[in-house]
Amino acid sequence: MDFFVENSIYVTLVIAGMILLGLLVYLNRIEARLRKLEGEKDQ
Amino acid sequence: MKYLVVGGALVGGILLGFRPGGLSYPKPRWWRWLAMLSLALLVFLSFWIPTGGTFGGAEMVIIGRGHEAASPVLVEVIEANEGRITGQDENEQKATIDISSLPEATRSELTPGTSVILQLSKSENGGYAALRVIRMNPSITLPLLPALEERARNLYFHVPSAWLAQLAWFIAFAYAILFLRKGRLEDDIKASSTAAVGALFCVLATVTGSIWAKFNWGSFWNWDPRQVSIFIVLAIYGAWFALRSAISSSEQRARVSSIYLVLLALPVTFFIFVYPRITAGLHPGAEGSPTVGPVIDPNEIWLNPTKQALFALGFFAFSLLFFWMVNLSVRSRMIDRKRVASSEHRKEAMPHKAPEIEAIGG
Repeated sequence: MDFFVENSIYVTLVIAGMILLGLLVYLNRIEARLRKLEGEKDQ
Repeated sequence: MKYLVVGGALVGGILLGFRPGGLSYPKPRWWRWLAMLSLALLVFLSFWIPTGGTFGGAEMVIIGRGHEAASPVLVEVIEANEGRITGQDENEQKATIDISSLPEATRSELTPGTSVILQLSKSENGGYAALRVIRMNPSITLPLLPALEERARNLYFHVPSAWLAQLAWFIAFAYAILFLRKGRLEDDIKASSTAAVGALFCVLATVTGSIWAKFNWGSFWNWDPRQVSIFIVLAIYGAWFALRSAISSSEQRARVSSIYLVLLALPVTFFIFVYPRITAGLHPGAEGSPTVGPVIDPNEIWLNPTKQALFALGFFAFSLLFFWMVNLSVRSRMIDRKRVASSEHRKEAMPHKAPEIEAIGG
């Protein structure tokens, strides 16, 4: 428990990083699907 | 300088949002990488840069939270004795700090000339006791705001989200006017996509704000004027969604939605920028507050250069994220529209045929 109290900022950094990673993966998947539907090659 | 840094990042983010090719053209790979890297950098720097306060700041934290409160203080070691050091903060205030509870290896590193951020609390004899070392020789630090402490980090996400909720309405307003003048459904798609993503950022601003409020003001919701205003803006966004979903004809929906976006632009601006400043409240910038808001106050004392850079990065990264999401929404709805149009075209091209009715049960 002390670990989480002492390193709460870094724990938050990891959680925020994971949320961001999930969001970016999701956006890139939509981007790839849209490009496929639009029939365009990624630049 | 502050306006140049923060305003430049904001304008840069908006210009990049419309380039290359506007809202409906796929963003190139370099653009998406720029968005992803700036967001990653924002998240990393917002939490990685340590807070380094002063002895005065630590005293104010103790006044606010009691004698057991601990806060990070950046000191330069002036003198080191057995179990004690004399440190000097950036205001050149000196104090003796008991470091006996630190590990032996750490204590030996605290030699004169070393710069260190220590988590300090009040010791029994009235001096300071170091609970742990936060960072040795930090290259960059954030100032300690006694009223916010580490919770200030939330602001690099909360403020850009709230700003984009307003910017979204401005952009939607512009495209709504274009639709009303020229009648192109593409402009309605751009206006409604921008407003829909803006609503998402409005929710994000509300959530980050209320989590912060819980830990700073003790409750998730305090009916502070700015909370009231964001609640009203959320309701305005909600009513717009309801209005659009209530009309089935795409032409009529686009017209009514555009009129709504134009008519409500002024009230939304009033509730975000004006109302919280003319009423007394908890947010900075409220009536009676010493500042009109840390970001827009011309006095640079409210935002030191490190925070200016972080806010600038926040505005830039969030603007790119916002425009990327709008771009995806516009493109997917354009594809849908083309599909609907081509299926309607096929139906019209097919010869009319009477429906076949099969008799059930003979």
